[in-house]
Amino acid sequence: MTVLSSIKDVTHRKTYQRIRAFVFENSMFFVLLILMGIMGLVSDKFFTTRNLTNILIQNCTVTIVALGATFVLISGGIDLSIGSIVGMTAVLTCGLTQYNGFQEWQAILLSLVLSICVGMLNGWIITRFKLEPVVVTLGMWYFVQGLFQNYIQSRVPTAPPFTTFLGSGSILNLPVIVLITVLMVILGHIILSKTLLGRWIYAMGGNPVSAKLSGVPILKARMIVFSLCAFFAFVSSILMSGRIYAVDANAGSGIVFLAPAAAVVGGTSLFGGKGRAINAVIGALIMGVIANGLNLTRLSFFWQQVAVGAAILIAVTIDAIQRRRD
Amino acid sequence: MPSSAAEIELLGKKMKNKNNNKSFWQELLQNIVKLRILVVVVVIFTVISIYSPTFRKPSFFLENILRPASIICIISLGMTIILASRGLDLSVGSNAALSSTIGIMSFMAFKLPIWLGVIIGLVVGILFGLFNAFFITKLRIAPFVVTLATMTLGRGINLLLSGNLFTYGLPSSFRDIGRGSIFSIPIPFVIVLLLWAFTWYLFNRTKFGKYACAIGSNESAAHVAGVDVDRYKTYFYMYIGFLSALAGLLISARANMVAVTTGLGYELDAIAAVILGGTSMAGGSGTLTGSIIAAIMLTILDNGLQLLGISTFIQRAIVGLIIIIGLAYAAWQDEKARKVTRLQMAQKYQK
Repeated sequence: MTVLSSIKDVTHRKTYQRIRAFVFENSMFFVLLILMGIMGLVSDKFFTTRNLTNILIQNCTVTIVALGATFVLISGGIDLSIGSIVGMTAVLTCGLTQYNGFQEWQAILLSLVLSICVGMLNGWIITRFKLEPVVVTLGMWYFVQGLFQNYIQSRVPTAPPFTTFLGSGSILNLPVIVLITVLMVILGHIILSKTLLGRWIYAMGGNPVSAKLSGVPILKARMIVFSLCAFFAFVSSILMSGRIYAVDANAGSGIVFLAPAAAVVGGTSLFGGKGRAINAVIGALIMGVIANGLNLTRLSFFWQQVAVGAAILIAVTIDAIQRRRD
Repeated sequence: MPSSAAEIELLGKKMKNKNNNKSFWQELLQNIVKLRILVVVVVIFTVISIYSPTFRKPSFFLENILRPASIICIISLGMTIILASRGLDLSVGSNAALSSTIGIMSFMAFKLPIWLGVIIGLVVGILFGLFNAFFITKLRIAPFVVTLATMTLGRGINLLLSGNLFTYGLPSSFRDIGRGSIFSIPIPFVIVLLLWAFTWYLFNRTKFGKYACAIGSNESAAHVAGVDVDRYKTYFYMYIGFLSALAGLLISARANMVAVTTGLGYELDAIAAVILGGTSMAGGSGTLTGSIIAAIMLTILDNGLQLLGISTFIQRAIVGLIIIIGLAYAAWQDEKARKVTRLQMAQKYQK
């Protein structure tokens, strides 16, 4: 009897621990659920289909950029140039077709190539000269943004048809933008968890020295990581310009800190080696839900800014307290 | 190996001589070479003054370069310490705005004496730093995230307080802090010189600076060695909070108003200045002089390129390019130097 009860006790403890571990691992997901519950209590319009769809659509662009940021964060770096890549892609895709007589596919292709070039250059400079990612990408941000802003000046081009379809069209009643975002998240998840590149990324971020010693080609891996980040920024930018239909010189300027912040709020570590693709989605949705809920309560924009800052602090504080308890 | 005591003594004398051989001028030259940024500044300065006669006037340098540069100089002094201790503060701009708003409101709206208002502003800045430090040290959240959040938070509170209104016409005694000059040197720059001396002393001659470098190069080692890491980190963030508040007050005094946009984007300017000055983001060391020179250089670029009629967008691109190329060049030089010393060492051992 005593043996039986002790076995039962052990198994019981195991399931309890398993649940506990699951909750801890996905703590930010539960924070998101709680937040949604609070917003639902505050405003009865929150849980309408229309509002929830809105939240999804509004946060697609941030999610994709945060996904790119997740890659870079896991590999132990940070990319501040994503905002400028988003802006450059948006401005070139719309501007070249409207003012310079480019075909739409040519403009998109050109901005894709340029984005990837910026990403590869970031990776190359950081690895070749052993520089801090923050500074290199800060310089790249200024450089790229200066150039594309000089091109666009104060003009406001509108999005070409295919881009508009991607950003605001729908297939079988499903918004294309959400479909592409889901695809991107799946792609990111597969790369991180199932491929050699993914293992390189985790190894590099966890311990760069031992990763190098165990044969990870750091230069190649870092260049791929930064180009992937640039690619995600490119995709997000195409979707963004399609959704808002017109872009100007300030396109993408707000996303620079928002993207890494979303990834971190979702639970990705800033110090590399830890994180998942789904964290980007959760982080972006947490911020989106807060902004949306505050909109519904008709508080002034100033309060929203205070609330978003406070929410980031609260979210990371919860995370920190948990890590400490572990 | 030296065998006798006499030989050892001789060797010791030789070593001493070798160290003393360097004259003052050689040392100075070496220090200047270390500050590569100075060379860049001289080159940029010469090029712009060849093309622009306005730029050559000393009054232009004093009024349009040193005066605006002072603000970034002040913040970059604190940022040097923060980066040396391997931290980061993105909230300096918001802090500058919030503390200057509260400080100025206290003597504009609540009719307190001006000196008290200034002190209130500075105290708010220090408390802002303390708030950052609480999350960084007690809850162990990355400084990037904490200060990013407080950046948004501070900006929001500032907007709520000032209600998106501009307060014009500050009292002249307060205005003079930002607009006056002593012996034709702008008062803000005089403040920079004083703070520079003070911070230099703190950073190079006291525990404060030594611990900053120790924490920056290896935090756990510093902790094991008995450094109260949390307490000193708190001091660093409080100090940069104080400096940001001061910078915010100077901005408002110079502009003669409280603008909600005060300090927007200053965090990146300050970080760029510190990095260009030669402080590494990896922590462990820092150079205050380099940061000051780099901050002045960024202003020279800003205003000088404007005089040459180059668009502001291209200016930004040029600043970015200089950051990247400057850093890559410095890293390349260091690498070469390291290779040379390694070669020399190898030859020495072969002999």
